[in-house]
Order: sequence, then structure tokens, then C-alpha cells
Amino acid sequence: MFLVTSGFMLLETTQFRIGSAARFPRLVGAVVFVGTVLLLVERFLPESIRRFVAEDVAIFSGSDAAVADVKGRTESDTTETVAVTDSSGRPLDDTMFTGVSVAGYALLGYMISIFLATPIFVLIYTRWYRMRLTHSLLLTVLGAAIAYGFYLLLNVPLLRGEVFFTSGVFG
Amino acid sequence: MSTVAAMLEALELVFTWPTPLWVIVGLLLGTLAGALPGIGSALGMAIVLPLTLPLAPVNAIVLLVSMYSGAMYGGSISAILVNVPGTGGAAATTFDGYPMSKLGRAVEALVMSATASSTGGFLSVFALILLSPVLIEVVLLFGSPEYFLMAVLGLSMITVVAKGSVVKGLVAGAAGLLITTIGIAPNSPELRYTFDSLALYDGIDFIAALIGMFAISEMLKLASKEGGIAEGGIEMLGSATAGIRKTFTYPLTIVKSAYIGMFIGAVPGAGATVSNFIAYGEAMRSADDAEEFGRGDPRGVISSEASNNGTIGGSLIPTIAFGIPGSGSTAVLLGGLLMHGLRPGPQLFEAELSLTYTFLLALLIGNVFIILMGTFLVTKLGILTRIDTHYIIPMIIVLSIVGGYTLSANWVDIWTILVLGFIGYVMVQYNYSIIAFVLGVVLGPIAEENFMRSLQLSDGSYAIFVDPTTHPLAFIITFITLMVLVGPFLKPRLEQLFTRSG
Repeated sequence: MFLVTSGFMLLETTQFRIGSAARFPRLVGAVVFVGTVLLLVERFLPESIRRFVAEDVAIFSGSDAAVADVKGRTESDTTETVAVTDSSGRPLDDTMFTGVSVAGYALLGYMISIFLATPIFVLIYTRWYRMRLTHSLLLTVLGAAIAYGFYLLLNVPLLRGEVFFTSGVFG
Repeated sequence: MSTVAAMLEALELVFTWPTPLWVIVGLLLGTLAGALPGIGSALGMAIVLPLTLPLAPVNAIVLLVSMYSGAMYGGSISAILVNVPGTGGAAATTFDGYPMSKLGRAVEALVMSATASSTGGFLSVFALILLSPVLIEVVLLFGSPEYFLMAVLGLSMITVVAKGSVVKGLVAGAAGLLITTIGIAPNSPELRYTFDSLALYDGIDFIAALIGMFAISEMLKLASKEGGIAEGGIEMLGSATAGIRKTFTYPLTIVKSAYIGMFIGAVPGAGATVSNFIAYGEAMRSADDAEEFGRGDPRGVISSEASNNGTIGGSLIPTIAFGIPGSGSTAVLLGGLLMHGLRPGPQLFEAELSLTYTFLLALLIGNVFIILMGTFLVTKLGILTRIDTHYIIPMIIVLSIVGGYTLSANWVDIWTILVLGFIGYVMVQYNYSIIAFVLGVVLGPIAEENFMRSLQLSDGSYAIFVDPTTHPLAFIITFITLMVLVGPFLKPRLEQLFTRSG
């Protein structure tokens, strides 16, 4: 990802009409490009360079032996938790679902307005995790209230979609 | 403006309504963000940032610094009650805070945490106020080459201080800088990477980048964790007044931990995540009965909490003086400063000196509120540990998307939040530093402007960054940067060499 993007951005600097505007992107683009290439070929590099590229360094280790000993004694002892949402038997894993639902929320917001997309997103999200219906509805109302609150307070066109409701949800 | 006049004006400003209200609101929001594991100060501040748009700059920054302070304290609540630190800065608090809770001293531990946080924060900010006249002199020595090089040094420090590969850190930081080159170039009318889209002419909004990187990527990460609530195993027992009294029986631990925190906070990239362990280790080292640590020793809670709030004063030094945030939270704070037209560096120490003192005084006052909040709300705070993460995630996402759109009603901001949120998630999976990337995004425009101005001054010669005769300060910063990058690799060889010759 970094390699392709920086490669493209470096190449694009040759198209700039004003030479000085290319200097900074060329400099930082080169750092990204060379760094990424080094990371890709790290196992073929001589040992001294490979250490610089791949080895972890940390000025502050964060914990010495005595602290690590206390940490070892205490960290396994955590309060029992109980799940209030049911994660089993769903076709998508939780991260994937969250990613897809966020993208869907933004896309829906673009089409029909963020104000209308917000309760739909919250309702789908909370139903997916099989929350109690009352909790689901409460969060949905809260989501809509947040969107409407932003609209009222900051006067941004949150009630306007780019495809539908282009002149506002309330006409 | 003289220092004394600025301080007097700041005193007036900080007590002018509604500024005290924003101190309290910031502390409460920060405590809430800190107490919820997975949220923390940077994320909390990032989603509140768009909401500060209608506020006066002074109130917006007061709100953000108070949130930062509140979150540092808030992180200890879940650390003490459920053994899960709300923020990285409260990790060491779990070692003795949670055992204290299990021994029926939860209230005492929470009040001790509030008292130590408050005192540590107070001492560090007070020291920063005393240091400020010296800082002003240093800041005024800096010109464009030095500011550009400080940005490079900040990025380099982060790659070395945070654990991981230096090259990965540099790539992340440079990628952040590269993103900021989208849009109209500074000092020239060249359009860069805009693909003829008017929406991209202004470039990528760094606030949208912050929201994406901190909020969306963090929610994607949090979604994979089972959302559970504490089963109520800890009862809120113990005495609040005993907690306050006990804390002040260890004045040396508080002072030492606060200044350890302040020193480490001033190093870009280190922050409270590191300082709380070091302060805890130092409290153990200097105790005659170190074996008591980990079994509910109050000094464990005091050292960790005094140091994490002590970090705040330290981390503000590079942020407001040189525009180099030392952590995610200060990166958001810097974003807030820039969003409200306040540039770190000479501006904050000359024309806006009273404003700078107002933030610092607000932090001092906020520290007093932390004790009051910790003492009087202490029995209610346990509720925060019973909130399931799946209730929080949709609300944070809604605030991120709605807040992102609020920035300029430009859909590019929403796509930025989404794309950078996903990129941030992938970067974490492959051990790339998100903080370095974010720092690159925030510093990009300042770095490029100073870079171009430096080259104009030198007629295009890069010698301006390394010439010790004409720019000694620039030379020193370049030298330090090189040492920071290659030092960790040279150190073992030098040690080997000295061992052999010795």
C-alpha cells in the first residue's frame, strides 16, 4: 500500500509545473518508498543494515525486572465479566461487520442524509449484536438525537442527502 | 506582553464565565473517556474536537486540556475496579489498585488515585509555569530551519522511543507528511494530487485524519474484543478521607513520580504509558519493603497516578513551544490549537502569552476539581466499568461521522475518516506506529512551510540545515536527530569497545 502510493506520488511530482512545489513531496515520498522497499527486502540485506531495518529498539523499556515480577503476579487476576451481547453464530466476524457497517453508514449518509442514516446504522448495529430491543431503541433514539443536535447547534446540512432528499429531509 | 501582565490577564480570563464551566465539562468528559477501556484521552478528545468549533479559542483549548487531565485520572478507575487500565498511563495502577479493591479498600484506592493524580498534575503544571520565561527565550531563538528540523527530530524520537522498527516508524511518519501534500501547495499555486476535484483543493483535513486514525481504527480493534461488563465482584468499600490522608503521608513518592512523569512527558513519543512504569519501578526501588508492592500497597497507586498526570506538564512543553506533540492526546491538542488559529511557537509565547497561561491555569484549577470529583463521585464511578463495549462503539462511530461532516460539510472529510480508519487498523496489525503517522499529518503543513522558507533563505541550499557557522542551533538539532536514529544501534558496539579496552 505504502509502496504503490508513494511510488505514484513520486512519479506524479514530475508533472508539477512549479518545481519548488515538488521538493517536499519528493523528499518525504522518497523516504516512504525507500523505507518500504528496505522492509520488503529485509531478509536479503547484510546483517548490519538488516538490524537497522528490522530490529526493535526502545529507549525506555517501560518496566524493569522487579516491575515485571509484580506484573506477572497480578495480571492474571481480573474481575470476571459477563457478556451482555451474544457474539455467536454470526456470518461475519465482529471487526469485519463493524468495518462494513461503518462504510455502509457513510455511503447511506451520502445518499439519504446523515440524519436519516444514523438511526438506521445504530439499529442494524445493535440488532446484529442481539442487544435487548429496549436498549437497541434507546441507542437508536440517542444516535438520531446526536445527529439532530449537531444540526441545530452547528447549523451543518446534516438533513440533506446527495442523491435523495437533496433539498432536506423536511423538504 | 510581559510575563506578569500576561499572567494577570490569564487569571482574569480563567475565572471569567463560562471558562470554569468548560474546565468542569472537560474533566467530566475526560474522566468518562479515560474510565472506559478502549476509549482513552486521544480518542475522546478527537471526537470532541469538531464540537469545539463554535467555542472561543480559549474555551475550546481549556476544554481539551481539561479532558486530557481528566482522562489521565479516569484511566485509574477501571484499573482499580476491574484490573483493566482505561488508558496505557494507568497500567501500573492495576498492580496495587486492584488488590486494594479486593481487600475492601476500593474507595480508598480511588480517592488516593484522585489525590495523587491531582497533586502530580498540579506540581508538573506549576513547574511548567515557572519554567515558561526560560522557554520563551528558547523559543524566540528558533527560525524556519530550526522549526523544520524540530519536526524531523520529533518524528525521529517517536520512532525510537516507541517500541518497534525504526524504519517502520520513519515510513509511518513520512507517509503522514506525504498525505498533507495533497491540495494547493504552500507559497505556490500548484495543485498537487487533486485529480481535478475541487473538493481536494484544500487538501486532507487533519482533524478528519485524527478522527479516522484514533476513533474508527480503535473501534474496529475494539469490536473484535468480547464486550463484557464487570460482574460486580468489587464492593465500593473503604474510607475516602483515609485515602486523602494516606496519600499525603508519602510526599516524596508524589514529588518524585510527578517529576519523573514530567521529564518523560517532555520526550516526544514516551508519555504516560512509559512514565507510570518508571515511577512505579522507582517507588519500588526506594522502598525498604518492596515485597509489599503488588499486594495492595498504596505507594503503587500513588506513584503510578502522580506520574501519569505529571506527564501532562512535560508533554505540553514540546507541543506548545515547538509544535511537536509527544503523544496521541497532545497531537489532538495541537490539532485543536491549529483549528482555532493558534500556532505553537513564538505566537503562543508573545502575542498569545496570556492565552497560554490561561490553559496552564485551567489545568491547575482542574487538578483541584479532580480531588473533589474523586472524593464526592467516587461511589458512582463504578458504573462506568459496567458499560458494554458494543454499546459504546456505535455511539463513537456516530460522533465520528457526524463530527467529521461538521468540519466543513465536505464529503472528502468523511471518506478521509473511513480510509484512514481502515489504514490505521491495518497499520496496527503490522506494527506500524499510528502516533508517528498522525504526527506526520499534523506537522506536515508546518514542516513544509518552514522547509520551503528555509530553502528560500538559503537560495535552495540544504547547507542551511547543517552549517554550524551560520545556523549552529540547526546543526545541533540535526546532530541530535542523527544520534537519536543511529544511537540505539551504536550503543551496544560502543559498550563492547569500552569493555574490551577496559
